[in-house]
Amino acid sequence: MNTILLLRTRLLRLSAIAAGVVLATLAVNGFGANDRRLATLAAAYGLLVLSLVVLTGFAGQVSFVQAQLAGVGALVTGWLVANMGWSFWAAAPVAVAASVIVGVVVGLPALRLQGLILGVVTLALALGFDAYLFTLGPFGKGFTLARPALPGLNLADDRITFAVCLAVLLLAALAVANLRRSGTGRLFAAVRDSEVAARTAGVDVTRLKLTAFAVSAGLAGLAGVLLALTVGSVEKQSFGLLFSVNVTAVATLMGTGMVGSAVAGGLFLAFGGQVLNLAGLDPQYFNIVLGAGLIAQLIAAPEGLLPKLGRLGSAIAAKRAPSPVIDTNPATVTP
Amino acid sequence: MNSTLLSVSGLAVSFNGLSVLEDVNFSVMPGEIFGVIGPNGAGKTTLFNCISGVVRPSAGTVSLAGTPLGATPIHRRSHLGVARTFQNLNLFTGLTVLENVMVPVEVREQRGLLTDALRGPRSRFAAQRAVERARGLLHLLGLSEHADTPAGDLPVGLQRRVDIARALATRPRLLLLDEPASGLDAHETADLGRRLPVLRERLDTTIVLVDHDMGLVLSVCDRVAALDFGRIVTVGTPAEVRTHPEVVASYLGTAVS
Repeated sequence: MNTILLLRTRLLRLSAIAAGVVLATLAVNGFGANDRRLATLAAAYGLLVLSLVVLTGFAGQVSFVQAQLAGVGALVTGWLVANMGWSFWAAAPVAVAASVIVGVVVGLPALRLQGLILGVVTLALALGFDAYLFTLGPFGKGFTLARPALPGLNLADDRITFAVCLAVLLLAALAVANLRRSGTGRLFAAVRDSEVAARTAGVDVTRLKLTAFAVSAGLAGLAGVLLALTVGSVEKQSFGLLFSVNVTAVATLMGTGMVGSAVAGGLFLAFGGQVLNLAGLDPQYFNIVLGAGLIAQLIAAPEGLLPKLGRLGSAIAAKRAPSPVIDTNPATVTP
Repeated sequence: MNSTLLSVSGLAVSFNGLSVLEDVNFSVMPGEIFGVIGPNGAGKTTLFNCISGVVRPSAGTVSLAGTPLGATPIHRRSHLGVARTFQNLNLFTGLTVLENVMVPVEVREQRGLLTDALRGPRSRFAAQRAVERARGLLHLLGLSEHADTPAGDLPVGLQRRVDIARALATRPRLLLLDEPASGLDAHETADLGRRLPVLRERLDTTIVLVDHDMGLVLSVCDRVAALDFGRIVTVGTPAEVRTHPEVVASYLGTAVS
């Protein structure tokens, strides 16, 4: 492979991300304060959806405990900053590491269980977090933390916070897309498609599943850290079972197989209520709309909305463009 | 008999008190193509499941090159050189044909998660090596033109070849083929029969083959074991097995000429 070409595509991708962040920030600049807050939340929620792209879309595992894993990230950040006097930037990696460790423990049942049963077990685990683990010690009362300082950037400015959160989401999405195209991505797919064939091919399925849970929990924990950063207060109520179910539902609706679902899903989760409001409906109907949408999607586009739209798009493009004439004459084909 | 590659001795399996295999003994020499025949329910697939580690036998041992495999898990056996195909294929349907064959190569590469997430040089070189090796195997099995097709989109005959290529990508010392002719037409079966000795030579492997296509088994195998009701009826050359009275009586009906 041409190294210079690769360097160029890499530079191009990073510039695209930078351009996306700048453009989105300019757009958000025109928003009201509330919409700015929602846009920042959308980036953090996007990371949560991304955590399911890895876990469910790539590795085929089910989880209803993603919001709780984000909760671990947020609560540990809050505790370290508010109670222990740590700097936010020191607390963030520790909080993500804590989420990863909890995520691996949560993944242990997946070594024996699959599909529906695994889903029910993670649901029970999520309840355990809500009713017990998150009530322990200082976690129960929650934390308040001030916006941290970052040299050169004023994080007290909503637009800057948004830009930082969006940049984190897009970089994480790029890393996840890389992962899918790499050997690790193919091993995840092997485990997802046939466990016994994966084992026979030499894949240590136990290790791969725990890796998927670890990466997924890391992304969810990062979402929690961003939520602690933007909201400024951490309460266990923000990371409950219903939110977990919503995240899984939205990820399924958009399509867990596509990295782009993270952006679409984050926007949907953050702005869904707002859109209903504009349409003259009470935002309380969000869950009903989501549920109905999910049922319609599972019937009409089981792989998710984004993959379906992508397929429709390419079908239309193929119809418009005249099909290229393939020259099979060896005499005219240049090497 | 230290030179045997695979040795099965006193093997017994029972599910819920129902005996599936009973006192099965045979050994396979390096470089052999060894066949196992028997009617449906004779225990052929269970035998393969014991060798590849999917099923734990209730008694007896399976040894590879003199080392008992005992409780060695499936993926460790793969690294020791045991590869198999599946009657029901079990292809990675979300991956292309090429990617299916890359998986066993890539699992043998030491490569960090972080390198893969950052698409570092080690990650790219590893993928490149896997692509090259997988392409070689696809070429050998006549699958080159289907490299980028999703594996699940191919007809069964070609899927069987993908399954074989994937098994060969593990660089096996012992290749177990579970009903490789099932779902194939006469032409495809004949093609498979021609390919097996070639694969053995080119990849320096030993093949154990289970099928109820008598024509295939008796024509390509050096030696054949006949299995019935979980027991070995006889082991011998195709000519011997073909004329063995019990074999003739139990499932050939009449001797295959």
